[in-house]
Amino acid sequence: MQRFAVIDMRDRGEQRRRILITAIAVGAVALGFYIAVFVRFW
Amino acid sequence: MATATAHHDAHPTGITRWLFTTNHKDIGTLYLVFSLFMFFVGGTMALIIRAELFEPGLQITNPHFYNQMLTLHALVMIFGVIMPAFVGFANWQLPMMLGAPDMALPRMNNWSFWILPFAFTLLLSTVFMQDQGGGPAGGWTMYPPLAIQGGIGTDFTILSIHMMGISSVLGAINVIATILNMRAPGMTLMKMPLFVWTWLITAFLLIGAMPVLAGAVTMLLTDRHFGTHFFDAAGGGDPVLFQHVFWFFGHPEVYILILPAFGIISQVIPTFSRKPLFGYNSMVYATASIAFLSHVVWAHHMFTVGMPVAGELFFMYATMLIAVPTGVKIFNWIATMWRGALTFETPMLFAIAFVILFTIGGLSGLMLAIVPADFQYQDTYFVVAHFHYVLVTGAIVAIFAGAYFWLPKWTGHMYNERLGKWHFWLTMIGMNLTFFPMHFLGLAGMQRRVPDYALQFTDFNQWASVGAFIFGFSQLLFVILVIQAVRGGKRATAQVWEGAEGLEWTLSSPPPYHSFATPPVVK
Repeated sequence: MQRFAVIDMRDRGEQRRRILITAIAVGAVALGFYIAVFVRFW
Repeated sequence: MATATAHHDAHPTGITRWLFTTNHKDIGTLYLVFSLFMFFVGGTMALIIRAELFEPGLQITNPHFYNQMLTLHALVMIFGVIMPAFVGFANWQLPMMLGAPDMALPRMNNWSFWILPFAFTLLLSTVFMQDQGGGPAGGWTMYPPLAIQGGIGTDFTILSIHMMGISSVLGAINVIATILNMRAPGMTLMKMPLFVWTWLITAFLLIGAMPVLAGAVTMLLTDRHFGTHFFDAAGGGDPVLFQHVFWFFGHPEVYILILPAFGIISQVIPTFSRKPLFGYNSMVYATASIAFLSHVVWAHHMFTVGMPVAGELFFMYATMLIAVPTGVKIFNWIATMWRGALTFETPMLFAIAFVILFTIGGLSGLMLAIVPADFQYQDTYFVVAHFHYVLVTGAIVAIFAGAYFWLPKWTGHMYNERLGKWHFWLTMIGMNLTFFPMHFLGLAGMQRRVPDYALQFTDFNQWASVGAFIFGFSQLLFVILVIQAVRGGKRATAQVWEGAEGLEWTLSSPPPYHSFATPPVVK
């Protein structure tokens, strides 16, 4: 039994890489917007 | 087309299953149950408001407590009910619709959900701090200078909004990563179900909007405690700046609350019309157009603040432009039903009600977009009627449509159709009785956010209050119905509905713990 029942994507290296790139890119955009609000109005 | 396997079906049981789960169905269930619970919390606040407004004068609340109820009702319903409900639907449905085994980032998915109960505990705990000023009472928009002067409840609210924002952004990252990377072979973007499309666009809206809200409330916090003067005119700041930044988030937020509803309706209507959705491509482009326009119309929320006429004209026309893609959607839903083999099960009843009632909310929105008219409507009950037609008879009705539509798939049991129809009709009577008279109250000049009113408004307010209690208590039928369906009942087939099409209907009802361990091939 898998303790956390995560589908193991380690055998799908390329998909895992693309997911991480997408997540980091989108997260960076979100963080960028947050910082931009301060930079714009400081 | 699809092969569901029992592979990986084992999972922890008991409380650890829910605390540590990384399964999209479990997390979807958590979101939906949380949303339902908060619906009753926010609903209770609404009933306190309506009980107070049953008669002019002050009966059961003092003005400060009334303002707290008003503010918390909005925050709970927006961030605690509608958004989590749609994220719950997304968690359950996206992997199944795309032919994926789970969401792309399952551990982050768990974290996205479990932030929420803590955020709302923080927010709601302020009600029990009346000695320190109680909960936030300046309205959900938190306009300074009132918000800067508020008690400790404002700080709790700011922190909880940051937490809700983190939860939403993480959820949006997950949705985007899932849709862009986890589609089954052959599932091109233009083959995706409309619900998936609307959620992809909603996720981008969340990425664009939520950090801006976080920025606005962080500035509010630093103004309150760390000596900045972003919004303090005495220190060289500008309270109107807050309104601009807030509504730059706030208007996309409106579409965050309604685009997934459009997606649900676009799944339900074709199923019960037994026809493919009319104008699929135009639906996708209309959704994207609405999302784009939502970023350039924010100042229509603040026409009376004193803007240059050119600005008012721009925001008026840009706002009216949204009626075009929205109209495309309404016409496409009607065209889908046209000459279809219609049946009227509960999900379809809610979907048809959505099309009619959301259109009323959209039309009153167009009235509010007209600058000179808005100077009259601003801060009246007409605005309250408008956004409740969009968010209650719109978003909430779509949530019910989706819940009835997918409940047999999720539980493996058909719900009680008779009880569902009772729930539908009582809800319809209750919600329209509540919100329709508010149009007249607003046009006659009744101010929003005031616990007292002139005698002439009594009749319509009493209708609205009676309607609110009918609406509120009839929701208990839904709870009974869901519990019944979870516990047993007539077995649901895999397809559930005769006209249902899509990958999720190829799986058993209930589906296996992991949906597609082997990706299906979409032709």
